[in-house]
Amino acid sequence: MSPGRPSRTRRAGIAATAALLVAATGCVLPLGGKRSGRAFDAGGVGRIVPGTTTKAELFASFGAPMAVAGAGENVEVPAATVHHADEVGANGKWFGGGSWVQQGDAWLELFADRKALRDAHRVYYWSTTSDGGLVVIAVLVAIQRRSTSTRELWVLVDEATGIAEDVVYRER
Amino acid sequence: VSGPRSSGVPLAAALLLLAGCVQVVSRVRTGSLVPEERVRALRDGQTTRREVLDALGPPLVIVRHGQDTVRVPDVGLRRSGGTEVPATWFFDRFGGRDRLGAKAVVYYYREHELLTKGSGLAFQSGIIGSSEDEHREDRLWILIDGGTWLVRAHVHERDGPPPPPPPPDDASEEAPP
Repeated sequence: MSPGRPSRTRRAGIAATAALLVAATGCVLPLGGKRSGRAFDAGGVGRIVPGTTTKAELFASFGAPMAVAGAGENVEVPAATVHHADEVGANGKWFGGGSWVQQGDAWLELFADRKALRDAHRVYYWSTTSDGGLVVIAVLVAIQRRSTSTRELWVLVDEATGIAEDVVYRER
Repeated sequence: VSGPRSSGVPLAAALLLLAGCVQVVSRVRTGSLVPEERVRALRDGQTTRREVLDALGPPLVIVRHGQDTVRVPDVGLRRSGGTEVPATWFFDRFGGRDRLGAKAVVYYYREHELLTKGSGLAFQSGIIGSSEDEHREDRLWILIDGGTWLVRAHVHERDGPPPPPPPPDDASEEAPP
């Protein structure tokens, strides 16, 4: 064996090390999430005090609601914007715009067994939908996972007093 | 050229070649279904309205005895618009409105999930591959006694056949969702 040439064992070791280094360069990247609706701080939900928090404070904390609905009303609610992959998930289109009709009675039902509902009661509604995920990239494979999640906030407001009387928050 | 350098050339070439092509596997979920365990937890005659609302959130629509029609929103995150449906359609799930009495209330839930699975090869110049969409849907009718506010009965369909058309006397109405 010449001194300038590595042994077969050493060459195999170099190749294995190189392969390991390449494999180790695999990484996990967050996929840019898109958010639609009203982005609000979930921590702010805990600061709503039924019987005390005012409409002005709700607006200051969460912005204008996406919809306000009362008994017997059907209101328009903006639809979320979501991603629909059309080619192995790497390319895709964003679908947004439009609105759907929400029955106010269905929202009021959230509070019906906790409050005596009156004509002055309205439900203020906020929601935010996030679309995001991860892509794991290794030597020869990229695995992508993407999904949507929605946070919704319903606040029962007495329009006569301008006070929030009850709150329901939900994540899914 | 020395020995070690020459042995590194094919290795580098192989790595470059590999770096230019990646197999892509993707799974994209939009929306969500009603969690199965929450549907299984419903007990006719025992579960309260509060427990239903805590578990499932507000219904898509609520239907009471005296209503003629109900506007049902389209489902899924991309929902847009809605359909006017005869109120009787909801009560027919449980044997008809007249049989159920004036205190009958129906909560109707409907959820949609779109799962897109794809695979292919990604090159620096583009992607070759295919994907397929899998639509899944939940429909849940919950009959509640408006006196006791307990669940009287419920019907759950997942990926089942489409709902039946409206009764013949409502034939002029749009098809139910």
